[in-house]
Amino acid sequence: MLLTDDEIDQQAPHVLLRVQGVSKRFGVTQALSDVSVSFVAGEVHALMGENGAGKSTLGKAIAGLHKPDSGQVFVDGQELELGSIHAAFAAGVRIVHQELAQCPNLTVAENLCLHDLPRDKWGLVDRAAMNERAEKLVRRLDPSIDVEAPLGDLAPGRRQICQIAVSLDEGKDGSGGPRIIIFDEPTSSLSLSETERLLEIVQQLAAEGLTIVYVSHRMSEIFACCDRVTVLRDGCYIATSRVADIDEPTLVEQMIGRRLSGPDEDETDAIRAIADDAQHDESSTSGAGKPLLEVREIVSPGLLYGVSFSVAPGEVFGIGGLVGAGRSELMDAIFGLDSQASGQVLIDGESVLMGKPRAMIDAGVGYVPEDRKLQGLFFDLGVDENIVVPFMDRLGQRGLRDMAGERALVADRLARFQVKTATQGSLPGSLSGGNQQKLLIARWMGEGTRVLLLDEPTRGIDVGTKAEVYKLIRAAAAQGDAIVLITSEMTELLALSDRVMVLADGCVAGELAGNEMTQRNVLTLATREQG
Amino acid sequence: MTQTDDPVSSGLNGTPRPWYRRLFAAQESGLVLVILVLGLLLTVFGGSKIKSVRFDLDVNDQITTRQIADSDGGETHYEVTIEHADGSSTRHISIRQPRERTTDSGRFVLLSVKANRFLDLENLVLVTKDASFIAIMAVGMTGVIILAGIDLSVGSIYGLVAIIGAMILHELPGDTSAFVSVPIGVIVCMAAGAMCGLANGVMVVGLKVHPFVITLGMMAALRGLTVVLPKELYDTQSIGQFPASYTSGFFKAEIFGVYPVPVVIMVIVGLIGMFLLSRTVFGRQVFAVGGNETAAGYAGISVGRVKILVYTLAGLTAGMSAAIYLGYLGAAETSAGNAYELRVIAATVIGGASLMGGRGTALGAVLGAILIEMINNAMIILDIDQDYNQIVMGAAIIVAVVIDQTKGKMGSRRRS
Repeated sequence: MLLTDDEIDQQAPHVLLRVQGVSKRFGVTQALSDVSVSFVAGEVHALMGENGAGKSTLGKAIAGLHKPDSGQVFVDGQELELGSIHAAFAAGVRIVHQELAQCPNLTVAENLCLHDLPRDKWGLVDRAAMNERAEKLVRRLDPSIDVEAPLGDLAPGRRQICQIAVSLDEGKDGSGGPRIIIFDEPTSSLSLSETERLLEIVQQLAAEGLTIVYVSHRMSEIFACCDRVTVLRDGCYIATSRVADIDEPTLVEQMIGRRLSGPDEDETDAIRAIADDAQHDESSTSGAGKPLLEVREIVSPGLLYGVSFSVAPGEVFGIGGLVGAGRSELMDAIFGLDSQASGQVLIDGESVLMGKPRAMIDAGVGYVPEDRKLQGLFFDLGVDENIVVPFMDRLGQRGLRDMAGERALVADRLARFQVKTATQGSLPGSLSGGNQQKLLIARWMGEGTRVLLLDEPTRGIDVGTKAEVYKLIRAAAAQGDAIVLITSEMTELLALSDRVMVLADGCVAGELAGNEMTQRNVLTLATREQG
Repeated sequence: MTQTDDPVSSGLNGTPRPWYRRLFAAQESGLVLVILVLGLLLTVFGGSKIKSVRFDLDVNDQITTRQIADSDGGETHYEVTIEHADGSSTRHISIRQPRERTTDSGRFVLLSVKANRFLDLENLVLVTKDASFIAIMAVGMTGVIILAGIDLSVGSIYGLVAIIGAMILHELPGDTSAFVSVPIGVIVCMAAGAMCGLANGVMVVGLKVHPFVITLGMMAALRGLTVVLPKELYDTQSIGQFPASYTSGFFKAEIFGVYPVPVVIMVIVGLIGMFLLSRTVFGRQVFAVGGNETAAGYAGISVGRVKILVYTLAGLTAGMSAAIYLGYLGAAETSAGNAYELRVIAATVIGGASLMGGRGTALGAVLGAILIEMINNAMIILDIDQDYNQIVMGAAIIVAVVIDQTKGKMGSRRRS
């Protein structure tokens, strides 16, 4: 058995949480079917799988947020009432959500005590007691956080730490503190250094004897901090392995399973190429020739201080840097969404009016922004119109829509980018995360686009879709498009880019090409103190 | 819906769905159903009334009246035969003694006939005429609501425009031709309304203040102007005496015994609204901005321009509505359009528009306005005290919106 691992516990490991035959159905989707897993006290246990594999659903079922259709959950041998948040809470189960579910307008202390604000004898909020309690919770994780500051003033990493701190609260009825903490993709909005800090905290909590269920699809995190990993695929249990006994390709194989034997062998190759830390194909670097995109001296007060670069046709130009370095802000400024920005953008040698996205689109610039939900998609419009909205006026005449032209364009893009949707008119909300991302990419990758700005194009999508996105990026470059790529996944950045520019505090810290493009060099530049 | 080649109605493979499926899936189908059911109930339970029907007679026409017993042996009826000079004759039934009159306008006979209190051309046109003032404004308001905005000033714009239009029409000679008076009246009213809407839009976009605040301020300010203008200029609260060509000659023209012009205009405005929102680039940009303003910016849409245009159009429809009001009533009062904004917003929301933005249809807004007037009409037909009107109306708004939201939650793939 796996549990004879001497790292976990020598004397009969204590199974703190046991999931037995849990199934859950959402409409036509079988999110979980007959899943059984055991979690041991003091371990960090990863749940892995593609988007839609059921890993988040399993986490939420344990925490009582979803009520399984069948199955049982045992905490320390006691059967848990299913679908009850209160029962789960009383049993010591806590969940730290993917999104930051907090009130940024309230102070850290108020957020931490929101579920049970301390009251004085008049029934008013007892601020002193509240701050003291918050202080106690935060101190365990990050003593430098000021509990009286508004939460919105904190960096995302700190806010995430506050969210973890909430889960450590013991509850007023003295039912005891947490015993099991479920982390649901906790690092999706964190920078590199913040992620490192979070992983430390996760291990610290496990060392204190808690069971950590770590839901993620970031390989590096699994290997950095987890003891065991359970893989789910299409709602089914696949395997549980000790992290020390498994390597990345095997894990990927478990996650995408069936596809390996299918015709899409090259997808895996793409992932492997990246997993193997980017073997660079020197010949693909174009370099020569007139730049297709030239950016000169972009300045935006407080954000960017004179950023210049140029990208040749067929080149993938990566932008590295930590969160807050101004990468997305640079993209916004280039695309004309920052009215404060000044500088010059030239497409194919011609200067394009700054500050007007319309002018950029007409010049052939496409921009896939970082947050597809907030900045990208229209959830009240159909899939078809989500693709065609920026080009409606170009297709139509005198303000009238060209319905046939739009339909043809949409059908072409949906087929070319393999966006899986029930009908052209379906709402984007009915698509999986990966298909939503492909939809957004399909909007911008097309005939009219020559310059593509991609900001985190693979965020929150599964391994299979990531591979498709990689191929799309390379294919666009092969056609002669100029591509600017931002990604927080270092391996992705190094594997896909021909050149990498590193930003730090709104300035260009350096540019890397060829053999200089290593993780170490990017990080060194990114963390360099800017004058 | 009339859009036969809408992409929604066809599957991915291009085969169109059968018309009945499309009809059922259409967003407004529920509202149409409610209106039909309410109409049916009113027809059945509203009972009948006796109304006079007027038949114009030539000088040489002969009338003969014969008293007949009803087949049941109950009430007595009168059979009226009108013999025309050319030898032809028409026969009518009256339930009371017919009365023959001769006035300046000619000779006619009044017959009494039994009519359903609801399902009667006169009543139906009356209900839709009352609805049309609200409905036309609701079409403009739909755009604003889709933007996740609000326009509280439409009632005041309506009032102010009515006064301005009345001042102009009042100055025209009484015998002005309809070809002059109608274009002048309509253009002045629509332009004045559009200017007010433009002011709303420019302030909402330029000052970056929530539209609730801007239009709340405009609502008060424009109403004040409406009162002050006629008081200072004419020392009156009501301006009338328009060219007859503008009133009975056009907006209150009698056709088949009813006054259908406002209803016809309502239908036209509704159709234009539907077309504008679904088939023009601007229309889809309105949905995009309302659904996700940030994403609209990232998609290269000039968010500010779209917003200003939408508020301008809302003002324009208020002006249009005021132009009809002037023609139909023949005078403007300073209280015109008081509290209309709430009825307009109610019509829009009952019509399926979401105050969160991104959803709404012009057809829904028109149907919503009609439903509101039907409820009003129901109170009269069912002899319910008018004081209960507001209670029923308030409840109806909440019920309609809750039903609509539940329908949305039940997973119907709704689009606009």
